[in-house]
Amino acid sequence: MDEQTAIRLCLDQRDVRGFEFLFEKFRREAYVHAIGLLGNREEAADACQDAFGKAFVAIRRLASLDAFYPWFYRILRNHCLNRIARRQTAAQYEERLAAETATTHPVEKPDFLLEAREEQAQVWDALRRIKAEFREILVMKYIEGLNYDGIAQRLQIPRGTVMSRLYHARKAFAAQYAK
Amino acid sequence: MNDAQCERRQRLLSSLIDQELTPEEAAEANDLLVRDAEFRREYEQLRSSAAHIASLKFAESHDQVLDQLWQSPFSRFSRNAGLLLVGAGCALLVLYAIYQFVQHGEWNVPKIATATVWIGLAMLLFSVLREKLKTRKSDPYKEVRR
Repeated sequence: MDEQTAIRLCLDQRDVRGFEFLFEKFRREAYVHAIGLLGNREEAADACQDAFGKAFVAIRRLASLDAFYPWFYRILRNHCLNRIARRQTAAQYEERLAAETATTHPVEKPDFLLEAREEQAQVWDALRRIKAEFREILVMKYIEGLNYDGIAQRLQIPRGTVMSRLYHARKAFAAQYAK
Repeated sequence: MNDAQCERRQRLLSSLIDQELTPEEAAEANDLLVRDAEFRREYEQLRSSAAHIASLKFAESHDQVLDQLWQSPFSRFSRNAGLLLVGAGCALLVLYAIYQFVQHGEWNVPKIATATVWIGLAMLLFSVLREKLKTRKSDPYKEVRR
């Protein structure tokens, strides 16, 4: 089975095997993106499960779909951003981060990083403290290795916006990393 | 420097670091690198940030973890259906208690239970609405297209 056949199975026949194929094909990618946005594995797994559930219901209502992942990514991204927004208000979040930055406890080493070196943990800690949309684009560029056109297509924004956002994201990262 | 020039410069810096320049942009960026110390300083700073981020690698996720992301397409429906049934059951109980109170006017346990449930629901509703209003004022993602 290929992606187009699977999409047709979902759309025309509402066959669950089509969706299971798409899930198998894109689950790893989705999980990495959710970790990039949310910053921890448990929440990322929950978000993926919810997003795949929503997609399973929504795909049956579509008349056509060229490619699964760009469509699914919008569902996953919105779900993750809603989760972040729900976690706490922006003010509470800023207060907590300020308090965390002020204390001198050692940086937590996330279990999803390949190497548990202190330097890697500090890089992630700085990434964790920047805006989600900045973290998202940096993960796409440097961890996933997408080029500008790939990012523009995934986020559905112009190439120029990708360049500007990357500039501001790197600036924000540099400011946090220097702290 | 005006806004357009500033943005042009930021974009050039980004694509220079990521080596995604067109030939014309490459010439312009090289020229700036040679004659503009501020551009050079910013380039070095951002290139260093990029190198730090690029050093991060996510561990490969095990299949058993990924399998759990999709155990059954119906688990979500069953959870929602469960919540709906619980909600509907509570609503029926409350309505029945209200009916009893209106019909017989007796001050008994159903009435106290009903009052407690209503006060609790009102408090919950109030706190949710208050939190929603508070979040709406300071939500950094309100501009995000859903």
